[in-house]
Amino acid sequence: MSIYPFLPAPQTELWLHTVLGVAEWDVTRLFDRVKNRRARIDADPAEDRDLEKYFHNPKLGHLDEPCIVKDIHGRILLWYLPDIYAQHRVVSFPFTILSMTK
Amino acid sequence: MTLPIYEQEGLNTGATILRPDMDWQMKALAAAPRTWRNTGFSAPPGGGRFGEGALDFSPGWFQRLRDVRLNQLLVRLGSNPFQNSQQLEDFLYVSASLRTDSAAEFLKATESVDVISNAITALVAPRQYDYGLAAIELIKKGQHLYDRHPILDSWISVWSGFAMILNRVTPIHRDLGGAPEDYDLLFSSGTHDTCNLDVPDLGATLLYRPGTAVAITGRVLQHGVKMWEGGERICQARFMKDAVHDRLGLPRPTWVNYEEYIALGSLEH
Repeated sequence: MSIYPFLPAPQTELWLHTVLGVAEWDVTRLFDRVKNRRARIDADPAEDRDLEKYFHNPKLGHLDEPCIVKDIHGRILLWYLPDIYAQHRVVSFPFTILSMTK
Repeated sequence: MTLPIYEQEGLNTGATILRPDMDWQMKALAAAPRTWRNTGFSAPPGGGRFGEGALDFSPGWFQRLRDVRLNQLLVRLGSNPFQNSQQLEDFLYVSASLRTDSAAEFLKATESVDVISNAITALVAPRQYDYGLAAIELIKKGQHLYDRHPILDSWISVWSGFAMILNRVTPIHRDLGGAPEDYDLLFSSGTHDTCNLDVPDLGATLLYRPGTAVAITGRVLQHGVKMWEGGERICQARFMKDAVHDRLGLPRPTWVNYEEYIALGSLEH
């Protein structure tokens, strides 16, 4: 059974037309390497060189269209959604989120 | 239900509502030690429309400098100046920034942003959405809070909190508060026309104009904004605190996998 039973068919098609980027490493193993590191204050070349021994980063370049990026096992690392908050768009919104309040 | 949504302008208006709080905070920061989180501001002369500053808002989190994960990090570094650090049985607190009249007005002005952000979260990270919603419902019940506050009734987001960052660059960094499987939801707003979000671990530079959302696994992937041009910049960064979810007895979500979305294409409707 789908985990998105509420999503009507036309919208599901949208997900299949997004640009897809792939990182050829396992994100859980990358996390093992970085989890104890301090919050970074801009680039640290020595740290980057150390990571590059084990993780060859993709070169996705400049992105300006909707895309997702996954790791080598299909885990989605990032969703890029340009123009999703429109300045003058009217949305028909069926969710019941507002019932949480008041 | 049909809602007129003017998300960008809603957040821009909300930012102007917060300006007195931001101005007060910037004065307080002037005497604080300089870190990357309280430097790098660049509002137009006179402050422009939005001014500058960065504030975090949360309906229920551990008091600052008492986060258990910060404590663990300091122990690893051989230095722990916070001897009475948070334990998982400690109470949660409504953030001081959320206890103001302007914060209440801000939440009302940006309600539509919360709604669409919840919808995005449900679509891109359904399990994180479920746990986020469960956490907020538990927080609203009050038994995990040190004290309840009426502002909780206006909190409709499934996120543990958000940071409002006005007219500031953001150095490349990883965020420490979330679980590795959690996304942060970044929303670019303001009036600027040139800006990029750099994600060096992916060799990617994302065009980051107003209206853009990025769901990023910010605990793992480095990210930052070096500069912007053509106007004023607002970033709203929504986060979920792993320590808060742990305190509330909620598990971490599993990784969102691309194969689940591919499977959607073969569904019969």
